[in-house]
Amino acid sequence: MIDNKNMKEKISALADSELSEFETRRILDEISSNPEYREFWKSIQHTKDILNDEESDFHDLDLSSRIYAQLDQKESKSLFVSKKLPHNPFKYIAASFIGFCGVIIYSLIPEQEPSFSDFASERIVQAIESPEAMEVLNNSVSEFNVILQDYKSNQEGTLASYRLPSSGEIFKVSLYPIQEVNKMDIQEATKISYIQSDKGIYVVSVSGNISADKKNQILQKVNLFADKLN
Amino acid sequence: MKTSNKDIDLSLVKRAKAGDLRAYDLLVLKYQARLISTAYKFVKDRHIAEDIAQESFIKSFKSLSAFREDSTFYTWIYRITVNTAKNFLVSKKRRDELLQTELTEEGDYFLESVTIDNPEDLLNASELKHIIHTSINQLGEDTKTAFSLREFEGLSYEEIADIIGCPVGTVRSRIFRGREVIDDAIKKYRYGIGTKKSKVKK
Repeated sequence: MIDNKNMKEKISALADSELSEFETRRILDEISSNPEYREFWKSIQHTKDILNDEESDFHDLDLSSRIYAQLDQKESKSLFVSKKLPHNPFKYIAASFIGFCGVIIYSLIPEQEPSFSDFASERIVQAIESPEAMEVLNNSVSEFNVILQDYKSNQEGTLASYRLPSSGEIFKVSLYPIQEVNKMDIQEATKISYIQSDKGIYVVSVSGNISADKKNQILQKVNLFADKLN
Repeated sequence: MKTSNKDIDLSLVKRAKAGDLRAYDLLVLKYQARLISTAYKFVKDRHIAEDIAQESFIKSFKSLSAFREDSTFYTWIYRITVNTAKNFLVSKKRRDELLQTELTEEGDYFLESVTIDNPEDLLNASELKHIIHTSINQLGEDTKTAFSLREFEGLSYEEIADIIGCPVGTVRSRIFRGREVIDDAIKKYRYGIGTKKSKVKK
């Protein structure tokens, strides 16, 4: 019983990344061989999800066995069996020589320090492509009981299409970093607003055949969730 | 300094990259519900959403070597799931177009919802949230403080130890204690039984 408690305490610490390498190695063995420990790990993650307001309708499911069965079926040979090396010794010599030349050439290229603008644009790209960008949009329409129809996300922006099942009205909400504003379809975007986060200024637009009031409500609500992009 | 989710996953991701399926399994257990939920928002079908999440985990495992550790594992696999769901919709569109070449006004294709959110599930989720918060409120002050600083503030064990003035080992035990109590409460709710009666240290 004491062992069981100690082990669970370590699983709890692993969930917070507070376990040493040595302990982690041992605990992975224990979790994989003991269903009770797997359940405890799942329970910790489930609790974290609920406390973070994540969806929880699917927590009873476990895809693991299906995933490994399929991995085993399709990929076991290539993933888990070491590949045989080519026998021709000249291939090794040629490959070594090419690699050596590559290292020498690379070392002669002067290294450039990333500028502040590089850093800033990298952060904004991360934000705009992040699940949080989609979360901001979803939250902005949460009170309308809508269905997400389509979703596009890349470095230029995030665009989501929604449908109101009650009326069949379809509308789009988009979130773009301000420097990408020219790539928005301004004519289609009948309502536009700006939001500011730590990572920069974004333009939010709402278009489609919903009322102006609804568009305004969406734009107002987007602002409430802008901090998710930080 | 807060312990980010990225840092938490990184050690498991590194192990999984080296071929350690046990580590990958913990990532699957951690994110499967969220990814099924993401896929469900697109396809509105529980079983298809499960298949999409499953496929996404397989794709991600096969291409783990390409995963750059400067982003979070969740962001990465989330994108894989969204793309897999979108590809599913596109291929379904093609199949449907063979049957009926009807397009919407704009020429876009939108998949009709085939199921609705189960009200029972929604109720369970909100009940579970209530149970977890009640359990946290019933924890002893010391346990509750350590647990809250970790879960709500994201502080590391060392920072929590500094704040409340106790050894890191004690923080680790208290956080575990909090989780154990919550785990028991969830089990009681789900199965109507408790594995053991948890006495909360006051």
